[in-house]
This record gives sequence, structure tokens and C-alpha cells, in this order.
Amino acid sequence: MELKRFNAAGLAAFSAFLDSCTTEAPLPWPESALTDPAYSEPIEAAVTLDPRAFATRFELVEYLDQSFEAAEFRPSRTDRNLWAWIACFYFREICPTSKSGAWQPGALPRWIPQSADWRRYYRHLVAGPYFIYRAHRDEPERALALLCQRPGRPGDLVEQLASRQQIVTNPAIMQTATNYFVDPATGQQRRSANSKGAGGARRFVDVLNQFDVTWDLSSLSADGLRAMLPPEFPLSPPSRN
Amino acid sequence: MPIRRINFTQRQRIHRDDISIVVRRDDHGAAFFDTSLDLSSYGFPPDARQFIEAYRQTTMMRFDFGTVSVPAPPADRYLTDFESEAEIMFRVRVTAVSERPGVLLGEADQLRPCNPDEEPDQRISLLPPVPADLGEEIWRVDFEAAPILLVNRNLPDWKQTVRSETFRAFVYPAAFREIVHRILFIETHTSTEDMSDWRSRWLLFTTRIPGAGGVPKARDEYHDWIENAAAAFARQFTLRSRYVKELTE
Repeated sequence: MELKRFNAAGLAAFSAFLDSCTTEAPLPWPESALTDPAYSEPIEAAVTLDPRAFATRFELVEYLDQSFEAAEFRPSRTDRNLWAWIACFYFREICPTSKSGAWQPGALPRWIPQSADWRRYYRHLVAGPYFIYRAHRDEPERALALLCQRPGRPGDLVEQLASRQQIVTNPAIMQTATNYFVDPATGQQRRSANSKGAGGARRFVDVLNQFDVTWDLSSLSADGLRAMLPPEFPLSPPSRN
Repeated sequence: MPIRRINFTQRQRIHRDDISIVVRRDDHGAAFFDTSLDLSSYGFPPDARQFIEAYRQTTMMRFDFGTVSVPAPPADRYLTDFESEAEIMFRVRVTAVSERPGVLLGEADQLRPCNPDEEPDQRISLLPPVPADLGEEIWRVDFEAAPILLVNRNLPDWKQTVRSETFRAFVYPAAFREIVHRILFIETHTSTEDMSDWRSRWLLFTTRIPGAGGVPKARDEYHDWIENAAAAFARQFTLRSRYVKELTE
């Protein structure tokens, strides 16, 4: 399908659909709003997106990046109507469901970006991982700690790391986080990442916050940072997931 | 339990008065920045390196400005990784080289650039309004750095809206409460000493409102103090009277 962006009516229709998902009478997925000129408008480039499933956030944004690059399209992070349109387009592929099959979209900023709000911008399920991927475009795999999750369920590791500007933009920290929290054998997030105790993501952030008082973290290499971490982050992370 | 942040190495806070950052556009419209740093009073080692970082959300650019004794601003100071220069913030870092390489010796963070035509002493505003996409919300306080007042850019005239007495009367006391509440209860900051810290500037501003009084020492007095200060704030700026006057004109 040709990539478009919502207009005000399209955004309102998608928003109304999302709000309705928390009621007993959810509206149908607004598929027609994706193409109806009353709800969507063309963008400046000819980008084609295929409906497909994505196992991880990385797969999703790698596919988007390749699609954008092929059309020489540079999406603006503040183009919320565009990102909302993409999120709506892939809604059925990435939205979690309950056991009964009901949509569980969660909070609105997961689908319609709050690009000016630093507390919530990264929570958008498409723009959030896309701009993390772009921030590490020279070697996107180093950001797998934030991109290895299922597209609709980023989880606490993403919340802890992506919400901190100095962490998410720092190559050494992101490489270290990936080394610790992603199992290289499976490409999946280790369970230890969700621990609220020693060796977990929250402790990792606490330790980095203390380091940030003392060290210029931007000047450290991944190896240098790794050597400084306390024993709860061993040089060889456990091999079990 | 969270780790308490301790400044073991006596890192110095670089004062905003010693830094000036101006974002300009060249003849082709590309944004770059100029800066002046005066670090002579901090006693940093001569070979300490100075860096300036520009950042916004997932975008960060780092510029090497040479050493404290031999500053060498890079020729390329273009902010090419940013979509627009709006809302870019800066931090200045001075790091050790010879004794403990990589140790942070001094820092100033959350610096907003001033406009080229702006006088330096006019650039500090406690709550500058900034247009933003806010959906169906009209306004919101943003705390990414020093607080700013986000105003929905999709209003017929957001600047005029902000200037209206109605907006001021309805928004500013609520924003004031939110900010002071955050400083005291969330940031647990009570000092009015450090003027390079937005929280201190806000608390000092609050204590200088006639009728507000000083920051209480006991936490259980914060709430009443905030309420009293918000009322005093409204009195100082005669918000109700101006609102009524605007309604009746």
C-alpha cells in the first residue's frame, strides 16, 4: 500500500478507534481511513509498505528504514500524522490481544506520537524504535537491547533505557546493554533484564547515573565501560536466557 | 534500592553566565552554533579537554573544543543531525586527560541557546511557551530540561492565545503549582542557592513573590506553602482582575 499521512479527520478516527478498544463496544479497525482522501493525504515521496508480520521491533524498523531509503524519504520525527498512519496500518500485526482476542492497544502515545513530550515520545511503537535504529544507523545491532522485543510489547528494559537521553544516544552504553541483556544465541532479551534487583535494567541505569557524575560517558568505549561495571554485571553474562 | 548519586570527584558545575551559545543560520539556511566559554576561574588543568554536546531526544552531536588552555572550536559546528534547531539543548563538559583520563571535571547541562539578536540578560525566562503537537490538549508543562510551557500549535493563533489574559489566568497558576510541586516532592530539591539550576531559580522566584515566604523546612508544610504561593502569585499578577477586564472589554 502507498504510504500516506492522516489528516485531522484521520487522526481523530484512529484516536476514536483506540479509545473504543477500552470499552465494551470497540469500533472496527479504521482500515478505510488509510486510503480515503477524506482521512489521509499523500506524502512527498512514493513509499510502498506491505502488510506483514514482524517478530521484533528491529525487523519492523529495519523494514521501514529500507522502504524509506529506497524512496529517498526522510520522515520527520514530529510528523505525528505520518507515524500514526503507519501505526494504524500495522495495527493488526503489532497490537497485543487478550486471551479472548480483544485488542489491548494500551495508552494513546503508543500509537499516536507525543513527539514533544520527552517522557512519552519513545513509547510510540513505530517511531520510538525507528529513531533508536536511526540514532545507531552505523551499527544498528548495537541497539538490540531496545529493539529485540516484540513490536507491541517493548517492556521495562526499553522503558528504563530509552527514557534517558544520555543512555539511548550513547554507542558504548547501548553496546554494553545489548551485551548484557540480549542472548546472542537466540537474539532474545534475557530474563535478567526485567529483574528489579542486582543485574537488572534498573540497577544498570542506577549504576550509569552514578558513573555520569564522575565520568564523561561519551568518551568511554564499550570495553572501557564494561570494565568499570560492578560484579553484578559480570564480564561473561550468563548463557541461559 | 536506588543508588544515591555522590559527587566523589568534586566535579564542578559550570555557571551559565560563563557560557554563551547562539544558534545561527548560514546563507543556505543551514543551522550552526557559535559559542563563547570562559572557564578561567575554575582551575581546570590546562590540558583538560572541553566538549559541547547538542542533543534532543534520540539525536546527539558532540563537538571537540580543544583544551582549556588552547581552545580550538571545530570549523564544522553545523547541527546537521537535527531536523530543526528548535528545542535543541546543549551541555558543556570538561574532562581530565593526564591524571584520570575520562573523569568529568566540570559540566553545565540543559543549556538552551539564545537567539542571535537577543541580549544575554534577556534570555532567561522561567517558563517560555513553545508550540507543540498536543492533540486535543491546549497546554502542558515539559520537564525535559528547565520547564517549558508547551502550547498546542494547532490553535488558530497560539501566540495570541498565550498572550491572552484568559489563558494566563487559567494556565499559569496551575503550571506554577505543577512545577513547584515537582521541585519539592519529586525532585526533593529545596535550595535557592545555585542559580545555574532551574529548580533553584524557580524556588527563588517563588520565595520572592510577596506573601509567599521562604521554603519550609518540613515536608508536611510543602503543600500548604505551594497553595499559598500560588494564591500570592495570582495576586501579584492580578490575574482575576485582568481576566475580568478582558471579558468585559
